[in-house]
Amino acid sequence: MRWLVLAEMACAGAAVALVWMVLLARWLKGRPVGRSWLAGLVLVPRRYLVDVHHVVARRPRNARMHALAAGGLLGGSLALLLGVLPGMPPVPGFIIRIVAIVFFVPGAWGALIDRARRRPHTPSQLSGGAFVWLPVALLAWCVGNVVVALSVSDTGLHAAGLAGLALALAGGVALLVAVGRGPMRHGLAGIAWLTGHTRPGRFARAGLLRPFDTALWPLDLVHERLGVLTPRDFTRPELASFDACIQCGRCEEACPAFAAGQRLNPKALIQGLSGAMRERPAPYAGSPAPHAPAMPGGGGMDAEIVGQVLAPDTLWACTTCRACVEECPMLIEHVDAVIALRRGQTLMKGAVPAGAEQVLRASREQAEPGGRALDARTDGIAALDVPVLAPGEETDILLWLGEGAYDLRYGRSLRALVTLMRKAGLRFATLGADEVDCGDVARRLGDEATFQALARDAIGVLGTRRFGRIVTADPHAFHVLKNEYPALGGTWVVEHHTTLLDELVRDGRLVLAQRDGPAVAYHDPCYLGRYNGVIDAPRRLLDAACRTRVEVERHGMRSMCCGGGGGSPASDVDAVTRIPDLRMEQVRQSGASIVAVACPGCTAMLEGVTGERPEVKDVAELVLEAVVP
Amino acid sequence: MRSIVLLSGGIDPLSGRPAPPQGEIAAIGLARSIGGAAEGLHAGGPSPALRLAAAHGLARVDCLDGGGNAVEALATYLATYLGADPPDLVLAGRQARGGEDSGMLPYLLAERLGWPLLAGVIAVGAAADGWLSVMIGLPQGARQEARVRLPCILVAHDAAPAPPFIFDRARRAELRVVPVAGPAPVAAEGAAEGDDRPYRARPRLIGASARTGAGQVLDHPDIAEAATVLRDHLRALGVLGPSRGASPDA
Amino acid sequence: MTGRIRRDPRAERSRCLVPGGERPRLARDGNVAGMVVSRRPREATVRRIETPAFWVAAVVEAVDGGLDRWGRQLVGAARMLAGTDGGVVLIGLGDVAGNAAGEAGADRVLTVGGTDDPEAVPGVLMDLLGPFAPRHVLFAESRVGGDFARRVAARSGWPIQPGVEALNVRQGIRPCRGGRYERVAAVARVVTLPCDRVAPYAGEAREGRMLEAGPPPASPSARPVGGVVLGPVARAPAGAVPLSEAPFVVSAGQGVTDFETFHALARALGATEGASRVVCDAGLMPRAAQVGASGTVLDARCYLAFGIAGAPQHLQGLGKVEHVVAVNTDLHAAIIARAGLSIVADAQAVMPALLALLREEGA
Repeated sequence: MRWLVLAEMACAGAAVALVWMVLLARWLKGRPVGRSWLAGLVLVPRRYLVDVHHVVARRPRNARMHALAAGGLLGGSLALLLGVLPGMPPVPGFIIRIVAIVFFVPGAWGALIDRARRRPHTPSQLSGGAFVWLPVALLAWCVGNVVVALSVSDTGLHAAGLAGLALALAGGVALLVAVGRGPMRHGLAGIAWLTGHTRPGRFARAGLLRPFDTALWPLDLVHERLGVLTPRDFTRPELASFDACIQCGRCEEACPAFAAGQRLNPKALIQGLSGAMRERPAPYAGSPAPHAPAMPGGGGMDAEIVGQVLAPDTLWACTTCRACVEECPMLIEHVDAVIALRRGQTLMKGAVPAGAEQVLRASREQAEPGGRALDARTDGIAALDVPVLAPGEETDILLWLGEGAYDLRYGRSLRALVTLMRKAGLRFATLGADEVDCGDVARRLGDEATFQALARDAIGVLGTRRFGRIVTADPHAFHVLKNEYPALGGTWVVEHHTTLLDELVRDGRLVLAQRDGPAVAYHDPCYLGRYNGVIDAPRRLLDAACRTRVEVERHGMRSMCCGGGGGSPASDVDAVTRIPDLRMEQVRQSGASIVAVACPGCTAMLEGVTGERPEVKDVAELVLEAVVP
Repeated sequence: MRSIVLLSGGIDPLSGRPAPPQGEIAAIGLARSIGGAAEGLHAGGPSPALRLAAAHGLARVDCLDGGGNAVEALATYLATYLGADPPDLVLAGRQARGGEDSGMLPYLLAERLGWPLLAGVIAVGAAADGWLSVMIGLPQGARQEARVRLPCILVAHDAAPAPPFIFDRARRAELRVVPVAGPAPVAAEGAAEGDDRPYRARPRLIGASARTGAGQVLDHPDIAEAATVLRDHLRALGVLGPSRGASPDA
Repeated sequence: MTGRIRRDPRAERSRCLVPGGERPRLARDGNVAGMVVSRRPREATVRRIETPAFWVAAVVEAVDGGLDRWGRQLVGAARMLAGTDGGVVLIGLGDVAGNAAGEAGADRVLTVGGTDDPEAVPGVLMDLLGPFAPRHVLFAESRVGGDFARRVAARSGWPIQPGVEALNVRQGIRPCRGGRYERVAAVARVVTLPCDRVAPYAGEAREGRMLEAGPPPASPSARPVGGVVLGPVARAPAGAVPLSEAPFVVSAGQGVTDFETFHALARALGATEGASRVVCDAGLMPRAAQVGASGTVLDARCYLAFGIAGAPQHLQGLGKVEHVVAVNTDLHAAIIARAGLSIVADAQAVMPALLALLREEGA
C-alpha cells in the first residue's frame, strides 16, 4: 500500500512537471525579455502572497476558497508523500499522515465552496465547462487521499484503502487534465508569469504599497516586426500571462466597453490569446465579446491573431482605462496586449478603423489629432492674455494646454484654471503655437512612429525653454509627459492642475469658502487615478469648495471610464449603449446633481449625454466659484 | 503591367509639414488596383513626403535630382532610363501641393510624350488589346465608363479609394536618387511670374452660395396639406422627378 | 425715365446686411455692393460693340440650355477684363441662348456641341478661338473646365493661372505652395476660376450676337486623336451613392420610430438615407449613415430631415447643402432656423402621408 501511494504521488509530481515543461516550451517560443528569470523566481512567493493576495482579498470568500483549496491540495499531497516515504519511522510517519488529513479536509471544503459559486447557476462573469467539474475532481483527490492516509499500513492491502486510492487517482487524472488544458493551468502559468512579469515596477516595495508602472514602453522602430501579429511576437512572460488567466471574470465586470455592448470582453480576449498559441485550443465556456462574429480560434504560434481569434473591432473598442488590469488577480496586463496588437495592425498592416485613420493622419501631418491649426489652441484663453514662452525664456510654471483647449466647453475650465493661477499670483506661460500634440492618441491607437515623432518635437520645444514645472489640466498629457517622455529623453516635473490647486489651497495662497449647493460627485479620470494614483487631491479640493460631496459607487482606483480614452471615440466601434450614458447613470444613482471632472475627455464625453442629467463641471470651475476674493 | 506614379513631395496646407496630397494617394491606389509593379517618380531631390506617399503602397521612388526642366527630365526618364521596360501607365494626382500647384504637369507630360490623358479617374478596370478600361467619377455619385489607349497618363479623382498608410512600407521604401543633367532649373509650367506672399483667405461671394436663415415655416398644418407642400417643394428644387402619372400642374 | 441709373441708398444699405438680418456682411475687400447680384430690372437698351480693340473669351458649360451661376460669373469676369474697349466672346459647350449670354455680359456667342473625345478638345477650341486671338481665355476650375483649360494651355504653350481667387484687370491672385502662399501676377492668357470668386455682370445688357463657327481649318499640325473613348454616363442608383456624394439625402432622427416607412419613403423619393447620431448609436441605422461632424459631411443639393432637432454637430454635417427641409415637432429646433421649408408636425404622421401621395402618383 505504502508503495502504491508513493507511486501515486510520484506519478502526479512527474506528470505536473512534464505538463509544465510542455507549457514552458510553448512560452519560450515568444520573444525573450532579457531579464534574469532566477531573480524573478525568488520574488514569486512575495508577489503571490502580497500583490496577488491584495487583489484576491477584495472578495474574501474567493480568498478563503483559494487558501483552503490550494493550501489543502498542495500541503496535503506533500505531507502524504512525506508520510509514506520509505525509511520514515512509524510514529512520525503516522503524525505526518494525520497532518496530511488536516490539510485535505479543508481542501475538500475549499472544493465545496468553489462548487457553491456556480450553484444553482453559473454567474455570467464566471466560466462553465471544465470549471464545473473541477471541484469534483478536487474533492475526489482530497477525500480519496484522506481514506488512503487513514488506511496506509506497512503491510497488506485494504479494500477501503484501494477504493480511496482509486478515487484519488480518478480525481488526480482529472486535475492533471485541468492543469494541462483547463482551469488549473493558472497555477503553473502564474508562477512563470509572476517570475517574468513585464511590469516589475507594479509590485509592492518597501514603503510603497501601490507603486505605479503604467507607461507604455517605447518600440524600437527598426525592429523587423513591429507590434504583435502572431502569438510568437508576444514576449515569453506575456504568453505565460495569457495561460495564467483563471477566467474569474472580474475584468469583464469592470470593462466599460463590455458594459456598453461593444465587441470586447477582456476575459474572452485573454482566453482567445491563450487559445491562439494552440492548434486546437481548449473550449471556452465564458461570456463571449458581445455581438462579435464567430472566430475560428486557435491557429498556432505563427497564425495571425486578428481575424483568426479576434474580431478587429475587439481591439479598437478598448478605452485603455486599465480597469481590467486593476481587477485582475493574476496581474495580467490586458492593455499592454491590446496596444501590442494595435501596434501590429497599425504599423505593419495599416488596418485601423476609418475614424482612427483620420486622427492618425492629422497627428502625422498637422501635429494635432483634430487637424486644427496649432496657433488656434490659445484662442479659448486669448482674452486672459497668458504670456507665450519663447525659446530661451524662463518662467515658473509652463501651462500645457492639450487638445481640450480647442473645445469651446473646455475653454471655460481652462479659463477658470488660469484665473485661479492669476489669483494665487503665479508666474506662468504657455507654449503658444509651438505646443504640438503630446501624441497620446496616436500612441494608444498603436501608431508608435507618429507618437515618437510628436514626442521628439515636443521634447525639442520644451528643451529650449526654462521652467520650474509643467502643469496641465489634461490627465492624458500629464501621463504622457510625466511617465512616457522620460524613456525618450524628456524628464520634467509634471503636475495635474488639481495637484497644483490643492497645493495652493493648502499653502493658503487660495482661500476657499465652502459653498452650499447640490451634492457633487467626483468622476476620476482613468489617466489621473488608475494610471497615476492622483485621487486625493481633487477630493480635498472639492471638500474645501462644496459642502456636500458624495461618491459614485465606482470611484477612485476602481472608477469607471467615460469612454473617451485610448482613441476609442475616434475608432467609434458599434455599441448597444454609450459608455458615458452608463457612467452618467451611475452618477445619478449616487444622488449627485453635479459631476465634477478633471479631464477634457471626460468633460466632452459626459457633456455629450443627452436628456436630463447632472451638470458637468471641472474641479477648477467649482474651486473658482468657492474662492474668496 | 508597369505603372509609374508621379509624386510631388507635398506639404500640409495648415501645418506646412510634409504630407502627400490626397490625389497622389488615390493615384497610388489606382496603380495598386491594376496589379503589377508600381513605382513612384519625383522630379526633385528626396524629401520626407515621398516616404509618406510610399507608405501607401510603393516599394521604390526614383528622385530625378539635378537641374533642368521637370517635364523634360520626366520624359527622358520614362523614355530612356526605363528603356528596356517602359511603363504602360503614368498616374498623377489632380494637383501637387507645395510648389506651383497648377495641376499642369501631367498635361504637359502627355503633350510632350504624345500619350492620351484622362482626368477624374476613380477606378481602373482590365486592359485588353492595348486599351485600358477605366471609370470616371462625375459629381454626385455619377460614373462614366471610358477606354483609353495604352500607354497613357491618368489623373486620379481625389475620391478614388485610398490605400491605407502603412508605416512598415514607409520605412522600407527605397528613395533612389537618379542624377539628371540639364541647364539651370526652370519651372515645369514655363513662366512663374509674380510675387509670393502669405496666403490670405478671401470669403466667397455672399448670397451666391449656400442659403441660410429660416425660410417658410408651416406650424402644425393639416398632414395631407403638409405632404403636398413637401412634395411640391421637393419637385421645385428639382430633386424629385416629375410624377409619372398625369400631373395637373405640369 | 432718364438713362441715368438712380441710386437707391436704402437698397444699397440692405445689401450691406446679411439676408434677413441686422448684422453687416463680412466683406474684407470693401466691395460690398459689387458682390451682390443686382435684381433691378434690366434697361431695354443693349450695348453693342462692333470692332473691339481686343477679345476676352469665356469657355462656359451650358446647363439646361442656359448659364448657371458659375457660368454667369465667368462671363462677368471676362466682361471686367475686357473693360470698355474689349469684347467678350462666349464659347458655349452646349447650347446657350444669345439674349441670356448678352445679359450675362457676352458680346458674341459661339457654341460647340458636346465632345466625346477630350483629346480633340484643344484642337477644336483653338480653332474656334483662333480668329479672335483672345487676350485672355477664362475657364471654370470645374471638372470639365479645369481639364479643358489645361489641355489648351499644354497644347498652345500659353501661360496659365489656374484657380484664381481674386481677379481684376491688373492682376490675378491664386494660392500656391500648398495653399500657404498666394501668387500675385498679371492676368495670364489662360485663367481658371473657382465658383463664387468673381461677381457676375450687373451692367447694361450686351449684344450676345450668335456666330456660326467657320469650317474647321485643316491644320496640318493636328495630332491624330482617338486615344480615349468615352462611354455612357451612369447615374448612381440612390442607394448606391456614397452619402458624402449623394445629391438628395433624407435623414431620420429621434422623431422617427417607424423605420419601415422611412426606408420605403427614401426609396419612393429616390433619396439616399442618412441619420442622426442618436439613431445610429441606438443601432436603428448603420453607422455609415450618420450625418454630422463625427459622421459624414454632405455635399447634397437637398437635405430632408425627419424628426431631427439639429444639434450643432449635426448641422456641421450640412455645411455645403443648398436646400434644407425639416419636419419636426419643435418650432424652436435649431434645424428650423437652417431650413428653407419647415413643417412643424410629427414626422411619424407626415412620412406615411407623403409616401401615400407619391404612391398615388406613381400608380
